Parts: sequence; C-alpha cells; structure tokens
Amino acid sequence: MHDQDPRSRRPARTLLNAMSRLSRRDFLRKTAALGAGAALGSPGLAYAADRLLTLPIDLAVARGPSPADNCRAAVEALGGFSAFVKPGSRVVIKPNPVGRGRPELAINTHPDLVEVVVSGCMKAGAREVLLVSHDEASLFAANGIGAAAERAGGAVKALTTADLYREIPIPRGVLLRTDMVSADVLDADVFINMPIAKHHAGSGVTLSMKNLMGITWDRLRFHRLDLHRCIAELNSAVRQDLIIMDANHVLLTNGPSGPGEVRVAQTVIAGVDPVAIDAYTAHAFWGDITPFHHIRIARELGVGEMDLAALAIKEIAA
Amino acid sequence: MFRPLSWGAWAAMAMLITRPPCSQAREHFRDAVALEVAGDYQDALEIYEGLLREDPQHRLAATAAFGAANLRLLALQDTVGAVDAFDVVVARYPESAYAPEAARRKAECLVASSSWAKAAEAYGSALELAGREAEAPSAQWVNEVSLAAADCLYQSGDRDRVIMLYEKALQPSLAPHAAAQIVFRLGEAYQAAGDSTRAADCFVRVVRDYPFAPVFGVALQQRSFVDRHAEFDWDDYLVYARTAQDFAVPDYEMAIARCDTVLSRSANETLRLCASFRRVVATTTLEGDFTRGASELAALLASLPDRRMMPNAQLQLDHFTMVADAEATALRTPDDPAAHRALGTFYLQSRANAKAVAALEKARDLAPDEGHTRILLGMAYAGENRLDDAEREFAAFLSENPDDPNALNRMGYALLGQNEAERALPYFRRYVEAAPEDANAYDSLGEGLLAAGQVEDAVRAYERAIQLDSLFANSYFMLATACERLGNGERAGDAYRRFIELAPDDPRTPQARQALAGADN
Repeated sequence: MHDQDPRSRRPARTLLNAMSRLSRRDFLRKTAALGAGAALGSPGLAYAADRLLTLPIDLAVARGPSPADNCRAAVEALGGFSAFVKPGSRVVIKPNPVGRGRPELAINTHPDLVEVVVSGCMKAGAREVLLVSHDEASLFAANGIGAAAERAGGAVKALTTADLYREIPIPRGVLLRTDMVSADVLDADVFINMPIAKHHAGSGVTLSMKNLMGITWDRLRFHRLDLHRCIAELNSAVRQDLIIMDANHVLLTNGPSGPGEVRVAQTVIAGVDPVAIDAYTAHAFWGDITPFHHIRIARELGVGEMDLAALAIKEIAA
Repeated sequence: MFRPLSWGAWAAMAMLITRPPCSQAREHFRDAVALEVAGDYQDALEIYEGLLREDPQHRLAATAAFGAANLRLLALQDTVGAVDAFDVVVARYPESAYAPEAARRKAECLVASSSWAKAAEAYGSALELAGREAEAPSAQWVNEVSLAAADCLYQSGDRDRVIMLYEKALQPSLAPHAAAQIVFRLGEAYQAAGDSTRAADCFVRVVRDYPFAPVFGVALQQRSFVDRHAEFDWDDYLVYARTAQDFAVPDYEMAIARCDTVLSRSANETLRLCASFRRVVATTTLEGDFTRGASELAALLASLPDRRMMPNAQLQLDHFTMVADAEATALRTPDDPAAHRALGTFYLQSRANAKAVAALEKARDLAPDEGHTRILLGMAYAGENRLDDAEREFAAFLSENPDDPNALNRMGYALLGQNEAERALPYFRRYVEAAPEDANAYDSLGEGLLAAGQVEDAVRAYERAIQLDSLFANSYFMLATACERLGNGERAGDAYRRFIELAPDDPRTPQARQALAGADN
C-alpha cells in the first residue's frame, strides 16, 4: 500500500545505452561453437545443444527412498551423464543453496544429489565441475552442499562480486533488455541447473526457472519490475543443458526459507526443458500451475512446453 | 548487404527439411531460439525472419518478430533496420504483449538519431497500445514512456502537443492504474501550460476516480494547488489515505474505524469499494475468520467494474482461500499434526497470531518432537508478546539443534520485535558463534546492540559484517546510523554513500541522501 511517486525520473535504460557496454565479441563469441559445432559434432556447447534435439524422452521422473538413487535413475533414463558431458568439458552447476538447514527442511538442494551429479560429471570426463550461486560462501559450508561437491571432486564459488558477471542481451525480453549473468555459467561447456522444489512467497514456487535468479547479479530488479515476467525472460536467454529437480523433500508452504510444510515426495525429475519440468513439478505438488505465471510466460516466449499431454514422460521406480 | 548463411543456419535448415511439415514452424522457432541462446544472433535473426515470412500467423510469430527486431539492433547495430522491424511488431501484432514495448524501443532508436518528432509519435503509439493489450504494462512503464514522450516534444519545440498526446492515450480500455498515471501527467502538462483550472481538474480526477492507484497519494499532495483553482471536498479521501499507515503499523482496529467512516459518509462508489476492500482485509486479519473473509472478498471482486482496479484483491482472495482450505483440512483431520502445523503457518503469515498459537499448540501436542513446529510456535508466542513461552519453544528446538543459525536469528528478532533487546542479544551472540564467517550474523548482532544502546559495539559488529561481505548494503546503512549517533559524521557519510551505491532503489535511500545533503550543508 505504498504510494509511488510518479515524478521520479528514474532514467530508463535504453537498448542502445545497454548495448554500448557490450562488446561485439561477447555477442558473436559463441557463433562458431554452436553454428559449426552442431553440424560437425564438436564437443562442449554444441554437443549439449545437439542433445536437446535428440533426447529420447522429455522428462524422467524417478521415485524411491534414496535421493541419490533417484538422481542416478532419472539421469540414466535421459542417456546418462556421458550424454551431456564430453571428456574435457567444463561443467557449471547451479544448486539452490540458500538456507543452512538439513535436507529434510526442503530449503536446499539435497547434498546427496550434488555428490551424485558432480561424481557423474567427473566420471564422464569433465575437466572441472564448479558449483556456483549468488549466495554467501558460508552457506555452501553450512548446508553440506560444499562438502558434497568437494567429496566428489568439484569446487564451489560464491558469486558475490560484480566482476563475476557479464552483461548479456535478452533478445526476447520485454522488461529485461540485458542482464548481468554469471560469467562462469556463460562460459561453461555444460550448464546443469539443480533446483529444489519449494514454495516461494514472491513467485508462488521456486523451481528450475526461478533458481536461475541465483546466477544473476541484480535480483532485486526482478522483484521491482515483475518477478514472473523477469524469470521467464531470463530463461529465454540462458542455455540449460540439463535440469535435475530435487523433489525428495518438497517445501509446500512458507518458502523460500521455511520452516514450512514439507512433503516427503522421494522424487527426482530430470530433463532439458525448464518449462516442462516446472509445469510437471507444479502440477504434481501444488495441483495447479495457474498462479505461477512465469511458467505460462516462458511458454509464450518459446522457452518450452507446459502441456504435459504433449510431453514424453518416463516414470521410474528407483 | 548479402551475407552467406553460417553452418549453424544450414544445419538448422537441414533439420527442418527432414521433419514433418506440420511441426516445421515450431521446430524453426526452436532452432532460432537455440542459436540465439548460444549467442549466434545473426543466424537466429535469419531464421526468425524466415519464420515470419513463412507463417506470420504462428502462435510464436509475435515473439519471433520482437526477437528479430531486437536482434537486428543487437547483432547488426542497425538502428534504421530495427525501426522497421519494430514497426512489423506494432503493425502485425498490435494485440500482443510485445507491441507497446516494440513501439517504445522504436522510439528509442529514433531518439538516438535525434528524430524527436517521430520519436514522440512512437512513444504516443506505445501509450495507445498499452490500452489495447491484455497483459497491460505497469504504471511505472506508463510513467517512463509518458515522460519520454513529453521530453521528445519539448526537444522538438512542440510543447503544445504534449497535452494532445496524453489526451489521445487516455482510451477507455487503458488499465486503470495506467490511466491514473496519464491523467496525473496531463495535469502536470496543463500546469506547465498555465491552464490551472484544467490542471486542478486532472488532479481531482486522479483522487476521485483512482483512489486504488499508486499515484493517488501523490495527487493528494496537490491539495493546496487544487484548492486555489477548484472546489473539492477532500475529507473522505484523506481519511481513506490514512488507512495505508494503519496497515503499516499495523493497527487494524483503526483501519476498520477509518474505513467505516468513509463507508458511512462517501457517495463515491469507487472510494467505497476501496474502503470495503481494506475493511475486509483488516477485519479478517484481526478476527481470523478466513472463510468469511474469502467469501466477502469474492463478492467484492465480482462487484468491481474492472478487475484490473485491484490486482491485490485477487492475491488476497487466493491467500484467504488457502487459509480457509487449511482450516477445513484441520477440522477434517483433527489428529494430523501436519494439518494443524500448516494452518498455524498460514495464520502466522496472516499475522493472526492468537489463532496461530492455538493451531500450533495442537500440532505440538500431537507431535512434540517435531522441531519446526516448536520454532513456528515460538514465533507465534513472540507475536502475542508471550516471551517466556516463546523462549521455551525455541529452547526445545535448540536443545536438539544447538547451533541452528536460523532458529537463533529468528528468536533474536522475535524478541527484538517486542523491544526486548537485552534478551535478544544472547541469541545473536550464539548466532555469531555458530556462524563466525556469516556477515548476516554480525549484522543481526549489530542490530541487537544498537537497539540495546551499545552503539560502539554495534559499529564494530557492522564493520565485521562488511569485512566479511563488502556488498552487504544493510550493514552500511546501519553502520551509518550508528556512526551518526556517535557523532562521527565523516564515517557515517562514507557508509551512506556506499549504501546508496549498493542499493539505489532501497526505500531507505532517500533517507541516506537526505542525511548526506544535511552533512554537506
């Protein structure tokens, strides 16, 4: 109920102004990687993008008592880690590490899943596996994600300074023309998003698309402009090669920090389409995706498919 | 300029050829997106433009047209071509969510070439399109575009057209919040043109017709100007405006009393609807009858002449409905601790602390070992100022999880919220011990120390927080206020400046600027 001062002349960032800070090299840097790579089968980015077109199924849903086994089974159904990670690749993973609690509180991505994924990437021949998030370094230590990553041969990096981000254009963005996105993510050969399914006071839920806010520098801006639309627009410009949704424990209320109602769902959902994964998860645990506007907007932006009937979904008992 | 297709584009086209024709457009779009996301803007642009030629009615065609226009600008830095491409969006897809923004971006391209009159026209078109589109732009968007339009007309020396442009943008289908913004701007334009009567009329229109809009409060500030040029009875509007402060305190009883005053006196149906909305929210929160609250809100929403008037009402209704459902579930399953805990959580979120206590006590009695229930119950007790009970519940959780930073921080703030700073300090100190590398721990401790009057120690805590996280904006602000209290203006000024750099949009930034201006004087 705060009144806005319409006389405030916050300078609108014009597209041209934004562009003047972007180097042309940044725009065209990856052209050869996907352009020639997709045709010739070169490793890295092009390889992962190619997988997008040839996956046997859209979503793999694994259920069972062990979070680690669920994760292994879901990724296996998509072709295994070697389908996404070529030898020598640099893999960057975005978990959700925002809280300090135990996995049962359903606030953070389960450390067991992190260990499985880092280990799987290393076994597939990754040169480096790095976990990143715009969160304090101490959080990674407090919730066990850092230790899990290190046990499996990975490392963590807290994205807490502006120099770790690079401005990219959002060509299909209406509210976001450009955004400051983690340079590690942009430069990765393979980018894996590892959200946890939980309620969020602002966006209704925080699933895979919302989790990407943690690779941007100015998150407040999303809240200020229009959280749902900004989440969808960010997802229209960032490539995700693999998404592994932790729904072993789902925070149904009082998110994102809890404590709230937790459903022990014992599920992991994997795929490459963030709209499909979020739509499936929202349907499964909240019953209705209508309130979560970012899913619909992302579909309108061409990010992915939210019609579950149109998806090939494989369910696995792990 | 002719440019041969890259390998990426050839590969994408080759894939198209092998797919069934019915899915070609969708595949075409997906390939363009894949290229775009990989940074291959030139090839993505070519595919988008191909899709527009082949299937301009496709579901994603407007998205492709908007993407193509942006890419023309981004990849080719071709502002002239971009103007034409944005025109395609506006002309072919005027009903799409992209049309107003496309017109705006076209205007920005024209501004770059100092084509002020054409740019003003494009901004005007953006405002008109904002009235057509289902997903209407925000009041802030309308504010920015209307300002930019006026600036262009001033630059082109055609000030008189500002009024015409705003009048034209005021279509009946314009979202009410946006219309309010434009009426206010129109008032300013009349004011600048020396037509005080019309200006006063516009400000009165904002107050009388749009009391639900963000600009309502600002229009109220024009009261002394309006009083010099028009007759208007402000009383009911001022009473209604004060309910915003009642909610902020919160003082729901006072909010209800003020709403009743408005409802008993005002004949303005729009104002009565606004007062009814706030009354239902205040009454429901105070009394905790969410089933009735949901029913009353649903009836109120159904009676609105335009649902866009009160976007918050639908959100509030959703929330009340969820709480009502949780109440029904708890009644249906009286032995399920999870049902009572869920209900208690909802009550807590709704600030219905007494009801939260009752629901969470049931949950605790049914499952005494459930630690999260104990924290929630502690928070509910604290909200009821039952601090001994609150500490007992937190202690129960902490006995099992002695170093849980979240619980320690929450308990500290629960006590601080009841002005029990001395009692809060031990919890904040334990938080620091549990998480010595966490900037937030020192920030919380600083707040406790400041509230307890231990200002020098608070300064040290905030300095430590900043040392651990040099971007922790809150600590800079709090450090500045603490330094002010110690009379260290120079240190306070430095901290305020850094805070403004880090958090230019924070609600406390004007306060920081004011403090700096005072120091500079």
